[in-house]
Amino acid sequence: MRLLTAVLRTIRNSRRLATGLVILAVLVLVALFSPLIVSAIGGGKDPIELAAYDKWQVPGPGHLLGTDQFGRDVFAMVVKALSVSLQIGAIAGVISTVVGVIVAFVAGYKGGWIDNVLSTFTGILLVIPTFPLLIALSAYAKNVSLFQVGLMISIFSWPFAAKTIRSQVLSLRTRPYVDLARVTKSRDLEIIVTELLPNLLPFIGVGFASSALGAIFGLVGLEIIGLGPGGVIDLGQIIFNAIGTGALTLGAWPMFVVPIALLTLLFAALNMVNIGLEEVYNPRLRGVAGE
Amino acid sequence: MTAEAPPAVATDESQDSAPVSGVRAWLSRHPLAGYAIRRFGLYVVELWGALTIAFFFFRLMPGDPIQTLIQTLQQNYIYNAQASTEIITRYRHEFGLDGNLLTQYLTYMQKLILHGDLGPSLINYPTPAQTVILRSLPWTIGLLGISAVMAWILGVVIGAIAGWRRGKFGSALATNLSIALSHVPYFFVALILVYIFAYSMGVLPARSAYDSNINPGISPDFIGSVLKYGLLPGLSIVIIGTFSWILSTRMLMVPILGEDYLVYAEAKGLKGWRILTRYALRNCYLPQITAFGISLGFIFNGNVLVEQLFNYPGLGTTLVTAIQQLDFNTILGVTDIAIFSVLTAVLLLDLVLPLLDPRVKYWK
Amino acid sequence: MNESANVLEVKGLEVAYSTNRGDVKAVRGIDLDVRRGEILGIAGESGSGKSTLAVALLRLLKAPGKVTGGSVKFCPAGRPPVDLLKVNGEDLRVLRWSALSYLPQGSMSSLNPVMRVHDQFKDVILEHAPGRRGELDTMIPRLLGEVGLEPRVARMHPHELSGGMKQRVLMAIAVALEPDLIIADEPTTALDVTIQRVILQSLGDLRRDFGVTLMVISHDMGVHAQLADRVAVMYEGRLVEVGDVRQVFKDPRDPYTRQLIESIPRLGRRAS
Repeated sequence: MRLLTAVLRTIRNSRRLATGLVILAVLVLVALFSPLIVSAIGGGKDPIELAAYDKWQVPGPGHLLGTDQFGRDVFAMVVKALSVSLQIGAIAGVISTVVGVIVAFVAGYKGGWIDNVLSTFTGILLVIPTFPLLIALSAYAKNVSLFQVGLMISIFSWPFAAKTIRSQVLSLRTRPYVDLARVTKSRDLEIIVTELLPNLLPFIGVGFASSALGAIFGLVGLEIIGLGPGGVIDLGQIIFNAIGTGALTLGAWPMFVVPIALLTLLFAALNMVNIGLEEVYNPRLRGVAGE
Repeated sequence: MTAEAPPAVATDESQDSAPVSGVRAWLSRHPLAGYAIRRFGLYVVELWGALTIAFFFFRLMPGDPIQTLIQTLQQNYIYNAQASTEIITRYRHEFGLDGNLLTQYLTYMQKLILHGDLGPSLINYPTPAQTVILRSLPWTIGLLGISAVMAWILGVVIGAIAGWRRGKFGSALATNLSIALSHVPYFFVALILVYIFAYSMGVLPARSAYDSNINPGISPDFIGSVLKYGLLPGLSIVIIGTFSWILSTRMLMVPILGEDYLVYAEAKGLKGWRILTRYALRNCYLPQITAFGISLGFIFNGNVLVEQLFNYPGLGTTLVTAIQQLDFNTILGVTDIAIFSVLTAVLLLDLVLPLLDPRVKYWK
Repeated sequence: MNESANVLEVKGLEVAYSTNRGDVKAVRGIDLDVRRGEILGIAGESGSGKSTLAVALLRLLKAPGKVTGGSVKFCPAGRPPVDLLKVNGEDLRVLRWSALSYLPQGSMSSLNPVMRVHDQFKDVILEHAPGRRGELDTMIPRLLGEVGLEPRVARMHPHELSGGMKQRVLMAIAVALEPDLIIADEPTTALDVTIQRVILQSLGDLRRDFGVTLMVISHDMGVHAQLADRVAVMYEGRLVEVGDVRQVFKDPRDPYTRQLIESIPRLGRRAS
């Protein structure tokens, strides 16, 4: 309970964090309600079924964003795709964060050669261009479930989470209350859970936001060259279709612009959460009374 | 009043246990060299690790490249549908695919390190992959290199000013814009730029690296053409990159705003811009040097898609073409070159760092 | 031109700090004159407002601090008098260092960590006296020598210097342009007792050799006893006593002053 009020107070203190979270919340809500929205648009039939409507209609009263080359309503598609993109981002984000936390804790807490090996490994994955490697994995991705896509992408986003969290574990490891807990003979695991973890939650939050962002980034990148998972429509796929069929020249600009705008909004929101959290925990970055 | 001798500069020469002979003694007398050697050792380990990871990633991909090759060849040269085992074996050998995975790995590494041989490419069989790649390398280095450096310079300067004049409208505007836009894929910006400048206004080209009517060479026409064709792809990277550097530089600048030496500089009556550059920025820009090297991998990722969009003849387009043709050697080759370039850049920057910073004791 | 007897005349100076719950007054209506050529000590405990006074006079006060009232008439030689609190921008910048300089505590990180000592002299000298560029190579070693430092200190970075050396470098820079007034904030605090002695001696020599006026802020009454001509005692933002230093020590009028003097450790005396 105390944790919750502390979290709420933190959010209220930082305008950036709050804005980012609000935008994210809106997007998540839209995604959650997507089935409802889609059927509301369809008014009886499924607006995403092929040839549900006439092809290539321009935006108008019947179809807010027009229809695509298969006669599907673009608005409904975008809403559903948003939901898919968010799911993948969330899955990849959670997996990355969990892996990243484990790696970071082990490396930071134990120190020594384990730390060396793990951080070199993490370092390599952070520095090298990983897109080609992601492409290699995508060859497996032709007919897989959402969850598996998230899993694969998380292989590339976990180092981001690990790096942020590890530096914090290092700085916290030597704080007095850890020594105090040690002296009272708590086991290592207990120390980690009860002392370190609560203080690290904001950084874990940053880790989650960073890796979710990286995951969706990577996914969109793959889809733009046509390598994404088949069978699911997400925002990157829509853009790919739009490019492939020259939608712009046909006047169907929403197919192009709306997914890009939504993705940009999503990235901006995640970034705001990141920066907002950083400002909260580094007081020097905040304003001064009287300024 | 006696003149005081300054204390000895910190070195490892402790009186009680000074090593007197051998490599250790030399190392402790030349701490910078020790650092360089250790860093280089780390570089070798990282390079080996990354190349190994890349190799296994690609070799473990499903799909048999030889069957694909046979199919391609069948389409190109009317072949006997059942290619005999000898031919398959021969191709296997040529592409380094015989033996188990470990043998393949050792053969590959040996050819790579000793001969710089990446194996034959599929897209231009039998041209070796490294030839194909080296043809496209200069274009990527030019586009990516210049864009990355420009974004860094612009971003660090604007970011420093934004941090310095914190609280003013311009600074807040720059900061908020950067937060919103620094994580937009370069590709999106490229799309928008192409739409506006190439499609709608028709003033800038949307494909290729230079006008095909001009002969390549050191001539003002050619160079002008290269610049013109490189403008849109370059801008896509520079715009977003700048926002990102603005944000990180500001984050470095703001925490030092209250430092004593800045107050003292103001007390000295020095001009504002001088304090900003020689006192503030010089004390916080160093992490950005390291960060630049680390960002290169990320920039390369985005660059692939930008090149693809503009059909720019660099590594990115080569990579995508190779993927579409399942040309493993070229794919792996591009990856290896990219890995090597990025790690080397980071190494060089790390070696330059001690020269720039008189304070940090690198030899610890 | 007739030089006025006072280089600085402070009238009704008030300084406060903004907080979320209103202003906290740090300096409450101070009237103080600084006579040309004297060494004036400002004494008081932590929180008395003496450092705030110094920073406010130097116009280095930053948010959340603000000057809420008063005037400070500054009369540099060869220049018209100005109100230090009202002058701004370029006019203020030009006055700095050549007329009014600052000697901070050596233990603070006032020297730019990435610049050599030589350059820390060079930039301020060239800023206010660009014509002296040719003299730099002789000036800097001479200034260092006057505070007892070898010329090779000029090639060093601040992290290579000890606390006492840093303090002396700061002293040398403070007098480099022979200003009318130097405000020194706790020049001996956090230094070894032996080095303190050297610093105090150097400060006295500076006045003797250059005729600068010194305002020395220190919580250590011993410093004022050894160095100051007059001393002003501050308590909770107010000036409680001002006078000739020997007079004040012999016969302090304010009970707080008495306490301060009595707290100076003496040989042969026990704590209780």
